[in-house]
Amino acid sequence: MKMKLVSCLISLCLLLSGCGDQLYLERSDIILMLGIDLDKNNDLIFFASTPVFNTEVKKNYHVMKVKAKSLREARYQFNALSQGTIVKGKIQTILVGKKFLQQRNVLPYLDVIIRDPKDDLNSKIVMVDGPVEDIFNSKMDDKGRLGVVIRNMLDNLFLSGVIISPNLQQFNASQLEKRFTPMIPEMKTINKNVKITGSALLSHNGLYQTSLNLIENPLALILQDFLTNQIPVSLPISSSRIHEKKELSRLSIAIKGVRKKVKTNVINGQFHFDIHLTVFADLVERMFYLDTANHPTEIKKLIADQLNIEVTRLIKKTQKHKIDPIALGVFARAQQYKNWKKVEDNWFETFSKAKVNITTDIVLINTGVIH
Amino acid sequence: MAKKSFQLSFSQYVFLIYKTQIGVGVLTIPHDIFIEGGGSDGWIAIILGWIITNAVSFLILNTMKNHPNDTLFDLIPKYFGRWLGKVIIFGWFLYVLFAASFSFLYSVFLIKVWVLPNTNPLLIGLLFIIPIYQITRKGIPMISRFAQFTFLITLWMIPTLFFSIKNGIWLNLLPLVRDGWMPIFKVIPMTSLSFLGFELAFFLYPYLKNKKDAYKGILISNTMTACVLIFVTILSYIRLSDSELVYDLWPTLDLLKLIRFPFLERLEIIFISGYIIILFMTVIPYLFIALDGSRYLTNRRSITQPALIIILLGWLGILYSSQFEIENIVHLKKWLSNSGKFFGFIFPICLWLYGKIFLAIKKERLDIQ
Repeated sequence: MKMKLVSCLISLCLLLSGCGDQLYLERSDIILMLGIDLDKNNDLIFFASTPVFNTEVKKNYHVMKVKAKSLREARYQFNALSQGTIVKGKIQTILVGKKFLQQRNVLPYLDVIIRDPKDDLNSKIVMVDGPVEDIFNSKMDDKGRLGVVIRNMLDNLFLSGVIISPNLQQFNASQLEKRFTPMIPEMKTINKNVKITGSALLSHNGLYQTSLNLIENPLALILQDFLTNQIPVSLPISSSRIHEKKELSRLSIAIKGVRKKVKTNVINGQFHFDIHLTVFADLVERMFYLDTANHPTEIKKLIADQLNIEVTRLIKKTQKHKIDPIALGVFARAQQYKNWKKVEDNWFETFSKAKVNITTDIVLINTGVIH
Repeated sequence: MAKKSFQLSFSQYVFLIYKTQIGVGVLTIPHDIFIEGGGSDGWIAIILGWIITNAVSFLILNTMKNHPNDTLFDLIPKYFGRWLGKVIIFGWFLYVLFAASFSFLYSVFLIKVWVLPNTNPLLIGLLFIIPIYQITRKGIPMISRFAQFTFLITLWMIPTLFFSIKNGIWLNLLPLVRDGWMPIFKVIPMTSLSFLGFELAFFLYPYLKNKKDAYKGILISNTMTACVLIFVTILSYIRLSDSELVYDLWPTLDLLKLIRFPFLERLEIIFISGYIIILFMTVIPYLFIALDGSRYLTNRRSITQPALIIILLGWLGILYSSQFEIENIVHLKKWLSNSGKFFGFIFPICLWLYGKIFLAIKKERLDIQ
């Protein structure tokens, strides 16, 4: 009995060790958004935005800017600016400047976050077109806390199927991957307001190559077969069968499902991809007249042809920049392993010379209440 | 023998072996297979490892069948005589003690790296040895019940990983057998080592109530372990890229990091905290066998209690005196694999052959007489 009591007391005492490193919320600076950029003299600068919980202060978040050589060093600098402890385990978004990405690979700078098991790998990576400082100084008094607002914007657009927004782990994986290249959301400030403008495409060594706008972006998602719940696509119809003014020959569809089949062949060292897409979609908008009562399949053909043109143009664009965000390299390795092995180390060079042939079928699930 | 009054039920026998097999290996195996050269065909090697393990397990049971009331420590002196027997028992004693110590130190290390980086490992160790002491002290009946408890309370853990299956690239697994069969064969020894724990059959067999179920039971435990290992490996291969598998030491935990609920960001902390129970279930059976071994070595029943306390304090001493580094752990792991190769695989095969010859000669002598 006595033994039990003593052991009980001892084990209770062990719980006290948890009181050693306590943390007060008011006294801690929780970084919600992190920014990395180069300034005019090509010096590395870091930004951090932390929420303020003190009710006496007017602004409910505050922004720090420091010059440092690495992220860890920047943290010491942030600490010197802060009245409490810096907490970096809750970073929601990491903004990287375009200028930075044109000159350097960002991955080594993020090593400190990936290494520490206390950190969250679910932070989203975003490229900023223009100085990162503009985002941190953008107008937020009618929106809320900066770090939260930006993350909500990203999540919202991601869920509506317009952009793909990789978290740190996915970005890290796609950057180190030999078969495809990363694709991250792109942001910009227009008149002190933040706007997501599309996606930035990086090369396999982490440098910025080109961008996709919000119209092209869903097409890339179709090719990646990546659906959150739908992909909205708006298309200009360029077919000569439509006799309508140019500004009115447009239609929009909401894609509910994609079935992708890829066949890879190698002919004389050149990779040939035959991609067959079956797209299941709802017709949501048609601005021109079409005699659908007498020609019911006409509209499907129009959409399929136009989609084919747009998608092919997108692939040509990626091939021109020697990048492969569509991840055709995955199919190349799975289906032509021996040939892939030969070109593994300069796959993107090989891919830029590959022939990609796309055929598209469309299945209209729902056309609404009118013809 | 009268002392084996307690009898293991079939499910206790199965869970005891299964939960001993599931240990630190599950957390690291995708990484281990990958860097050993198995590539993404590693899961095939697990199946082959499973076949070998089953074969060896059956040999163990076949050996024990002729001596239904003896544990391995009873059997060895009968086969090898008193002195040579003592040497072999001492070898086994060192092996199981080492296995228990490694699992214990690894558990502390895991908690220190993932959950409590700022806490002194000595304190973590102190917390850990209390339940270990309480359960090991009571012997086989308690341990087998703890095994059942562990199985039930950790049932949710492996299915949790299913959440990370979304967005996996299944094509990563293709083409099958991409670089020929050689790399796969090369990692079979490594994958078979993840099944270590089946050698407990040497010690559990005499306690088993219905001896006919022994084969079935060990087949079930090995299969359950194989399923968990294959599941974890395939999930890591489709979800993580090649480069991540090379430098991530704990791919299984990285899978968990990817799971995010609106109300919960770091699922892996809860997972690891629950996983401690599973790790204990690896430490405790080995520790118990070590104590059993000490009894046979000294021929004194009263030795087990002091020995248990000395071992546990020794572990705290190690935690106090040494700095933990990942290199040390990797180094110890290599030692454990080598000794596991010998005691888990080579020894049972040799013993089986020896037993066959031994019994044949004995029978011949009896016939002559």
